[in-house]
Amino acid sequence: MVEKANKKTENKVRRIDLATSRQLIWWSFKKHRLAMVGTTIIVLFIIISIFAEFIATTGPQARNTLYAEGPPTIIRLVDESGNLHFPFVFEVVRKRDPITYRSFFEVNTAVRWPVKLFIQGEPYKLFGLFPCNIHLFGTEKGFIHLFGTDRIGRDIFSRVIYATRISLSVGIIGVLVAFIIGLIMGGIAGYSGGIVDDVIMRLIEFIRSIPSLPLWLGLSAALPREWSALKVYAAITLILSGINWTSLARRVRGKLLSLRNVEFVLAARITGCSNTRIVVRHMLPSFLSYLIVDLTIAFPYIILAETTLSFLGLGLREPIVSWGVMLYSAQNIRSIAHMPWLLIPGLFVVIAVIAFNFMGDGLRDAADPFKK
Amino acid sequence: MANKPLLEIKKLNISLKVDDSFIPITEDVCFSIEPGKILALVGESGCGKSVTAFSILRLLPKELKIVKGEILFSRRNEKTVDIAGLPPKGKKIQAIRGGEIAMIFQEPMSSFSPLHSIGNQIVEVIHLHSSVSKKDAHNTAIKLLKKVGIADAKQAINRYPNAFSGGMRQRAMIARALSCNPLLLIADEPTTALDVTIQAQVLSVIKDLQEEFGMAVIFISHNIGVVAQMADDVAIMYMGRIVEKGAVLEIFKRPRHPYTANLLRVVPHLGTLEERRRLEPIKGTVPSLFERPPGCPFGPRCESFMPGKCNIIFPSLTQIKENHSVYCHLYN
Amino acid sequence: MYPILRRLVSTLVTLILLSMVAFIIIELPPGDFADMYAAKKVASGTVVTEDEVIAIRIELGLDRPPYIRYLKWISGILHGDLGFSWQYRRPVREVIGERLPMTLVLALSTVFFIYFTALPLGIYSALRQYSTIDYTLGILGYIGLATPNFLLALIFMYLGHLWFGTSVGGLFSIEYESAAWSFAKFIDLLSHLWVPVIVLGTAGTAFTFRTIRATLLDELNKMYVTAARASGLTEFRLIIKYPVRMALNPIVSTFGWELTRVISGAPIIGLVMSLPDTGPLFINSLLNQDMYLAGAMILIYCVLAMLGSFISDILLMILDPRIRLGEK
Repeated sequence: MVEKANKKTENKVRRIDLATSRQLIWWSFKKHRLAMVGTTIIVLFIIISIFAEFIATTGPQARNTLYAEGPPTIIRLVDESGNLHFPFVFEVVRKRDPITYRSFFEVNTAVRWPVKLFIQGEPYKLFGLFPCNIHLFGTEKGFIHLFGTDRIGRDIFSRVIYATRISLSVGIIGVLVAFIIGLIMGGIAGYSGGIVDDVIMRLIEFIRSIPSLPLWLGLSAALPREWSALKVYAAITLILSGINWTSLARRVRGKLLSLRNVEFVLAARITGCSNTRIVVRHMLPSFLSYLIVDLTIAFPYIILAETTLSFLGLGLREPIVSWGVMLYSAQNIRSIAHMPWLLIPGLFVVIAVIAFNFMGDGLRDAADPFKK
Repeated sequence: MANKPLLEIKKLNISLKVDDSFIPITEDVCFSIEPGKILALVGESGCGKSVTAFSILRLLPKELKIVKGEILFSRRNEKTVDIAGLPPKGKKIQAIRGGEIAMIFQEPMSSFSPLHSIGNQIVEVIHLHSSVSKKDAHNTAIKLLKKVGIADAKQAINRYPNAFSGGMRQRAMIARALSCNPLLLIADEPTTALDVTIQAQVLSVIKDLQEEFGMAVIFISHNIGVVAQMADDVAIMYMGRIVEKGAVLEIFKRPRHPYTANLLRVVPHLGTLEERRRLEPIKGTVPSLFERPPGCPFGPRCESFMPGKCNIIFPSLTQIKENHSVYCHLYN
Repeated sequence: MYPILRRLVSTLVTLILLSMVAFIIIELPPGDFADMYAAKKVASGTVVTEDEVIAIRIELGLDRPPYIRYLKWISGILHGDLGFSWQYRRPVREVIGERLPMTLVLALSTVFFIYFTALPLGIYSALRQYSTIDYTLGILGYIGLATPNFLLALIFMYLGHLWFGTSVGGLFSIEYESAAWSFAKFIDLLSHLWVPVIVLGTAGTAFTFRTIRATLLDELNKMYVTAARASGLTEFRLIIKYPVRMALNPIVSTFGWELTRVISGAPIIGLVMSLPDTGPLFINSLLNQDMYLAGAMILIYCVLAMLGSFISDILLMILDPRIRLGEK
């Protein structure tokens, strides 16, 4: 028994011995199942962003006046009598309560609206180029609102899909800009040292010591009311990344300082590499992994920030739809009590942030395979 | 002449738990030490000597389990207890730790908490095992620091470990270990991490104090020279097994086990031109834990390897003399 | 002594810089205070002439160059005059003063909550690694960090509405709202306070929990812990005295950030849950560009944040002799 057990562990150990550093990283990552889950979700979100028009059932501003403030319509397979059908939705009819005069929706189980895949619907331009009108799913008769509708009858499901694109893009652009600024500032600080380094570090300390929310709020409140939604989008992204670059800069600088004198740089110098060559080929790879981890942590931070700002009405504005903008209509308790499905965008935020965190954790563990 | 042993290790088997399987680290380790004697445990890195030492005070992490065997310790109250059978977090073992068996470690830099003063960490041990007043404990600590050769003990006691050099910290560690007059001191390679000159100083401190306090010492080392200097008895380990044990002078004069003989040959000699020889390293390398050779683990590297015997079964104990025994088929 | 003095000086310098930033933020929106004031008057039906606007401007010194305005503002603040709010037609000082104590109560309670929950849980989790509780807490921690404050607040309020049929907002029941302070009112406050405190403190708790768990796990494997065990200390005592104390270092040093975060999040919670603290005040002042109020609030937030950071530096010095004695 001990012999067999020995063999199994021995094989495990041997495979680890033989693997190259790259393979080690991939294995460690795969082992981290949570990281795989996280990455899958992120990839899913990215696909949704790219194919938003295809996946959504209607446009983000299209209103269904027949079904404003309506609860989610549930896709069913079995009707009232217990018969199996292809997926469908029951008809909903608006009724008015004779006593309170409040309108509500009644499900009419007599009429079925079949749900079809790859259905023809509203036209759009795929990737902004190719005119198309096929949607992933939908109904020919009647309507379907997977996540319900808001106060003016806009389909929440479609809006969430479009919002995924906006929220993710704010995150990506924000992180990229922060990364560039951080890289430059950190690079200058780390490479020059001395007074330049000191000044930059002081600046970073100062920015970090400001409570972030009041700062964002203050800056975004300063944006003129008249600006178009697009301008606001750009400005908000800049504001968020303009404050966020500090941690990346610190990381870059720290690595540069510590790596400046490490043995392999010395070795490279001895063999006659030029300065740029040293930086690019020798110093970069070793802290690229940490950088990647930092980036995946910065994402959720920026997404949360944008969501918060938009929720307060100080971030993005209609007609640009992000998860935060959608939550703006959920600002008071009365709306939520009446239409709890308005909170669904929040669920997407949470999932996105958790997914990024999982991915970041997995990357961090993988980047340091020698930790164990 | 044989006294009742202070500590007797009987067929100790410690294994590493990896997922669901157990990998043997030490196998059937047997040795004993009498009061007031110094026993050296010698072997290459990874042979299991540290693991054995840690197991005496049940300090092993939970992945390393004592699978079989006894650790019989004769306590101050004359009663004998099997440490291997004690609950590892119980009162009995806590009373023994520091109070009757003390231990010093390899890394003086990291064996003290940097957040507490040296005095605090010594006095704490005194309070654990006796009920003296704060003042008395404080004075005892000062006296101990003086004894281990730390100058200006009165000031030193309030300083933090970071203010001390490696050698000083090691001395402080010895002071802490000796604070309650233990019967047995386990020293796990206490000088390996120190400079050569400091090594000599610390070793002489240990030796002097051992004489003064009359305690037994188990001294772990991979350095034959140090062993020759310090120990009365020695036990040689290879891949978790004891291969030879006995009095130091006896074994060094006439080593029986091929491994011991090899070890002694590898030690560099200073001497006249004729006396100097080439260094002869031992053939091969130590196999990994997962590739333990069947029978005697030294077999594949042994010049006297006997196929059909050495690779089938591990040799049983052969008593050469009263103070010299060996585990080798050559003498079976 | 010197390190403390140095910290004090750098804190003051940062504060001065922050006040400049706050001032810039005040000045950013187009139009100045005089315009706003006039606009409000016009909206309420009064006629305001161009000359009157200019007169107000001169009176408040708004026609002077920026650095003079800044100095005037700062000197006003140092004398206790925080400016005038055109929304409420009252001095900013009064408007804020009514609500600031609540903000402090909320912030301090949240900070207490964070440390009293996260530390024991984190220590327990580290000691019982891989146990069910460890995993559960870990997952909760993840979710806690991922959920924006306001979303949590909304969910709580929704659940409160669903289960209790009442609105869970506000810090007092109706009866106690304007009543004088009494023990009963205090109890009433506590019974309402726990919801915003939990909501506000979730992120901080999750973060602190993860930090102390990770640090403690690192420390538990170190040699000095084994050495302490070898001296005969009981498990409990040695864990608290040595590795836990060590693990507290990063916690203490981030106390400043925690406080800053709590203060950052307070306005939103205040708004969503309609709390009588400075939160809604701040948000509304920004939305309506009531800039003296907004600027003063920003300054106050910054001061509080600096205070927290200063305290955490002092605490760290007390806790860690290496820093106290100036180790490099």
